[in-house]
Formats: sequence, C-alpha cells, structure tokens
Amino acid sequence: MSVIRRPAVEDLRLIAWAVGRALGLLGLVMLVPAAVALALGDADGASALALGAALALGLALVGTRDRPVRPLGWANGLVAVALSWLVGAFVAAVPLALSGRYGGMLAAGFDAMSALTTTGLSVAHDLDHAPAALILHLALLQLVGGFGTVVTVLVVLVGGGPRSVALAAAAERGERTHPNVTHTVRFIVRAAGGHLVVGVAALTAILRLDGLEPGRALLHAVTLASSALSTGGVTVMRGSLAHHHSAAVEAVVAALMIAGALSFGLHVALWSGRGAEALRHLELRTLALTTSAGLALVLVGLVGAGVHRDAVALVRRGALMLLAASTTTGLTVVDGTLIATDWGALAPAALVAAMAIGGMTASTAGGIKAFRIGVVVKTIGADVRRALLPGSALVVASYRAGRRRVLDEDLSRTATTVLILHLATFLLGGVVGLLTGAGDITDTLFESVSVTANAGLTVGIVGPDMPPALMATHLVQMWLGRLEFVAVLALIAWTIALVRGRVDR
Amino acid sequence: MSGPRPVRLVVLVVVLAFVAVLVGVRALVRAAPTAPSLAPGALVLDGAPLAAPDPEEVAALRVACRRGSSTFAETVARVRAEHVAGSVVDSPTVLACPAGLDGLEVRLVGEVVGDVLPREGGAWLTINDDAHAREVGPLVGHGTRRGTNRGLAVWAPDGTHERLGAPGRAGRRGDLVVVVGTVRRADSDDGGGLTVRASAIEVLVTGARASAPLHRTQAVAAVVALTGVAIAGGLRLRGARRTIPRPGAGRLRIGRPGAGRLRRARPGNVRLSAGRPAPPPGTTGTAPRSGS
Repeated sequence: MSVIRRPAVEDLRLIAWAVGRALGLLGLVMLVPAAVALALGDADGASALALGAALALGLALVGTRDRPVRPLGWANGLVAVALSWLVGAFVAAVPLALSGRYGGMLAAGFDAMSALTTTGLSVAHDLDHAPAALILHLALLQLVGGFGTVVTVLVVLVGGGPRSVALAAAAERGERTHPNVTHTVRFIVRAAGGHLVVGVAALTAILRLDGLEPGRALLHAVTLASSALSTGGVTVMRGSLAHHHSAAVEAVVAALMIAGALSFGLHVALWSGRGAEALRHLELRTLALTTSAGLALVLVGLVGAGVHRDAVALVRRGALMLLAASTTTGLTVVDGTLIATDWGALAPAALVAAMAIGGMTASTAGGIKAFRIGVVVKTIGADVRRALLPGSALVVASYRAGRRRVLDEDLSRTATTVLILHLATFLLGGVVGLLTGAGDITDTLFESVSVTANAGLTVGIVGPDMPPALMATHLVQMWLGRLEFVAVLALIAWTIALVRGRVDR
Repeated sequence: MSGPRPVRLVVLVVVLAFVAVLVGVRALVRAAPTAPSLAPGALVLDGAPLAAPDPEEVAALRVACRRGSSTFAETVARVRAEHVAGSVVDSPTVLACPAGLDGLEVRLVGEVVGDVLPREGGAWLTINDDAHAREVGPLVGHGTRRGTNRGLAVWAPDGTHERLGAPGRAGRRGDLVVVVGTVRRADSDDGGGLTVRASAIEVLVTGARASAPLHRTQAVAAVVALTGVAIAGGLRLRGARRTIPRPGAGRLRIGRPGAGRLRRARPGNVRLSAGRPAPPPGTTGTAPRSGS
C-alpha cells in the first residue's frame, strides 16, 4: 500500500502565492467596471464591484505574503490552477450577489463560473434591465478566463509534467508558441489585444451606423467582441446576437469567434509565415472536417424539417448556429426554445456533436478538442489495420503536428481518457437534469453537453428557476470542462493528501 | 513547520474566511434599502385583466408541437383552429409552437426594451412580456425576483414606432405597448428569424425612471475595504522596494535602520536583515564565495 505524502507548509505557500497572483489580476480587472459604474452614477454597482475587488486584492496580499524560494512545480501548479478558477469564481460572484439579481451565492457563483469558464450562460433575474457595469464585469471575466486558459495550457500543462500524467492534449502536441512564459504571455496579450481592438472598433462603427447612441454602441461592441474572442457568450441583451438584426454584426462576430477557437500555436504559425505547415496540422484538419460535416448535417436537418424555405436564411441561421456551437461561443441567432421545438431532430443533434468536439487546444474554446478526436480516430484506424493485417505486420500510425510524429500509446491513452471523462460528465449532467425534473433526456443532455463544453447554448432549462441541485452540478461541470479534468483531479488528490496524508519527517 | 497543525490551521482559517464572506454578502443584500416597485399596475385589455401564461400548459404545448414528433401536425392544426384572429398571445406560447401561429394575426403585450434599431422603412423593437415587464417592473431596489426575461422581436414599420419613448434598460422601464401584428416563424426579411410584423402599436403605460436609494452600508464597507487594501498594498510595495529578495538566504534590506525614505543601494547603506552589520565601505555587501 502506497503512502500518501501530506503537502508541506511550503507547498501551501507556493500554491497560495500562485493563486494570490491570479486573484490580484482579477481584483485589478474588477476595478475597471467599478470605475465605469462610478462614472455612470451607479453608486451601488460601484460599491458592489469595489467590495469584490477589495476581497480579491486582499486575498492576493495574503497569498503573496511570502515569496516562495523554490519554483511552483507541475503538481502544485495544477492545484493552483484549479483553485484559482474556484476561488476566482467565488470572489467574482460577490458583486453579482450584491446586485440583488440572483437567488443567492450559488446562483451568483454559477454566473461567475459561467463567465470565467467562457460558458456564457446566466441565471440572473431581469438581465435586460441590468446595469452596464454588471454586464462589463461579466464580459471582462470572460476575457480573463478565456486567455487565462490559454496561458494555463501553454505554461502549466505544456510547460512541464510527466507525459504519462498529462491529460491535456496540448502537452502531447510537442508544440509551444514561444520558448518561455514571458514571451508566451506577451504574444497572447498582443494577439488578443489586437483582435479585440479591431473587433470593438468595427462593431462600434457598425452599431453606430445601425442607429445606436455612442455609449450603447460601445457597450454592445465591447461585450460582443470579448464574448466572441474569448468564446464566451455574455451579451447586453437576453436576445444575444439576434438582438441586432444585422448581417454585418454577425459577420464580424463570426470572424472573431473563429479567431478565438483557433490555437495560439496556429496564430503564431500564421504570423510567422508558416501557414502551409499549419494547414497540415492534424488538429486543424480534424476541426475543418468535423465542422464541415456538422454544417452539412445542420443544413440537411433544417431542410428535412422544413424550417426555412429561403436559402439565404437557411445558410445564415444554420451556419451561425453551427459556428456558435463548434467554437463553443454560444452567441445565438435563434432562441434556444426554437432549437428544441422547431429545428427537428438532426440539426440539434449536430449542434450537440459540434459543442462536444469544441475548438482547438491552446485556444479559448472548450469541448473535447479536435486534436483528441483526431488522435482517437487515428488510434481506431491503426487498431483496425492491426486486426486486418497478419500478426507479424508492424503498424505505425503517425500524425502531423509541426512535423510528422509517431502516434504512441501514451498519446492515444490520454486522448481516450479525456474523451471518456467528457462523455461520462455529459451523461452525469443529463441524468441529474432528468432526476431533478428539469426536462426530458434530450433537453437535459443538450444542456449538459453545452455546460461541460463551455458552449453556452441552451434549450431553455438553464435559468433562474432551475433546480439548485442541477445548478450546482452544471457549475462543477463548467469547471471540470474548462480545466479539462486534469487540474481538478489534481486538486482532489491534493485535498485527500491534505486530510489523509502522512507528514514527511 | 511541516507538521499537521499548521496545515490544518490554514485550512480552518480559509473555511472561516469563506463563511465570513458568505455571511457578509447575505447581510449586505438584506440590508439593501428598498424602493417602490415600478409595477405597471393591473393591465386590463378588452375589459379583462391580462393573464400570465400557465407554465404547465406551455410545457405540454412545447412537447406536443415538437417538429418531427407524432403529435406535431395535429397540434399545429389544433392551435390554428383555436386561435382567434387578433387575440393576445405571449412569447412562451409562440416559441413553444411557432408553426401553429405562423402567419396568424396576434396581439402582443409587453415592454419595449433594449434598443430601437432604425432601418429603412421601419425599426426593430424587442418586446418583453415576462413578469418583470408586465407585473412587477424592473428589478431595481424592490427586490422581487420574478425570473428571466423573455420576449419577441417586432418589426415596426414607419408610422408605428415614432411615438415610443426610450426603451427599458438599466434605470428605466420602457413603454408598455400592445402590438397588433402577424407572426412570421422564419421571416426572410430578418434572415430567417422569428418575428412579429406589426401593423399597429398602442402605448398602454408610458415608461418611467427606475432607481434605488443609495445602499449606504455597502458604500461605506466598500470605501473602508478598498482603503484598507490600498494601505496594505502600499506598505507591501514600500517594503518590497526596500528589500532585495535572495532565494534561500533571507532578504537584503536597503537603507539605514530607521531611515524613512528609499535610498539607492550603495556600499555603506546596505545591511542584512538578519541583523548582521553592514559591510565596510568599498565592499559589495554580498557574502564572499568560498574560494574567492
């Protein structure tokens, strides 16, 4: 029987330091909507956000009291990542709860976790009358969460750790955007900032031409651009993207959604003129194939169900909804109830599959990730060939990721493990929804896949009146899905070690 | 230091802090001052009070009218047969069975919210008909939480929307209107969206400002908390500037003991925090390496 080592005080210090740094950033970000609220004369909004920011900064000061003398390490890093998202959601929920639009801290925590994990679902009451600062708070949380995920994947998951333990596909890609943390973060900030500025400028201009007043156009533009780029889904109005009735707005948002769902490795390759090689990457090819197949299924489903008689409407609605699902953005142009009632069976099923697969690793998108799907398909192909060929035949499967690589067992196993964990979580959420009486199994599975993949599409179950048990389950699903299980599993193991472990002497 | 007690103590402190925050938030929410509700009053239409949709009926309709189900055609036919031209419908019913109401004339009662989006020949409106729109008013101060918003997109041709006031948003309840129009399940003029094409819009109740009294306790708490954090952060920064971390070997403190302002590290004003005396002038202040 193996002995579990209890984490030492120094481990706690290291983790507290890392979580403190994350909370410090979150606190500073929360001061932005607080200042906006103050400028707009929303004193209660400003004080609520200031309290949240003070709590985050206070915890940051406590956590970073002792600068650690040794590096964080991979295992502690995973625990710190999982705790950062959990504590961050709790702290970010404080101003939401104080707004009075939530039934309690669970509901406020749901929305905070939804924004931080770039899911974009909301259980707020009367969101259409919510103040601008509250919306901006959620929009900024999406950006922090979305790009925090990219940094986490590239720095913590790719940056170290034994291959046998690394469940994140990025760790297997053998691909890093830049050689060190500082360069990686700088590139991400520059690339994301560039996309965001261009997106906000374009959307503000379009919305001004559409007749919105300047402040309102800017609020919509910031929210839409940050939602699309972080593949979040928070919008000013409940009607989401459909509220604008504008093909131009939809085109800009679609471009930003695609940019958000592409891996930063691909962004680097495109920027550095290595586009041809990037186009041969297993993940991009898998994503192109699955998205094309998904689009075909959605269109066939809509035609078969007789939803649209107009070809332009068919393609516009179908393609945008598929893109919202595939990039796990969740910015919709169709009311969720209509997906369940008016879209037949095939098109919603294709949306569910697209959400489940998700975008690329090291992007802001959620889901199982196209790379893992590609690896699993290659593994199955190799197994079939092994079965068909004589026993003495040597079957070597390979894939392209920067260069041609041999598909080894570790990679196949980790990709399959994550796939199974996702499928189990989809099923678990669906069953909890069914048991709580939230809807029939098709609807509850749709919601379960949507929250686990951090997509944010809903057929109407997620809302302020949903059962608390289902709300809590979906909250955990969002957290698990965003951190791709590995960090949360590390936190669970660490907590067990904290309680049951033995002390090193 | 690596024994079980410090670790458990840290866990206990974290749990207590978590509970304290929960209690504090709950207390602040409860202490929030209330404002009079902006309820529009009992809406009466055609001499009868306007009824809210029955959630169970809507849920049953949603199941029966699911496209592709065996009951779809029958339900659509029943809804179309039962509908009286120009009768009041609500958005949950329309969304539950859009095919049943497609092309039929309806009346929609609700609040104009969000933005009025002018286009050639008219404007797009969003009409919410949820409880916050029709019963209790915007959730500002009165604390009555009545669920999420729901509504429909309405195309208002020129001549129907010009007299509308500012739409409902933060700090404002929009006009409550009756829209007479036709449901279009997949409106090709809106790229296939579900819309109501209005032929007439009547204002039932004009919009009003919605504001809540200042939550003084929360404001004071925020000022105190931010000031405390700013002071603590300032002291930390000041301390950090005055010391140079040395991995594994404590810190170098810069400046003479008791000196209030930051001084550049020079030979003579550098001493080790452990209390060792400052090195004599002319040396670097770092511990000599073995063999040097």
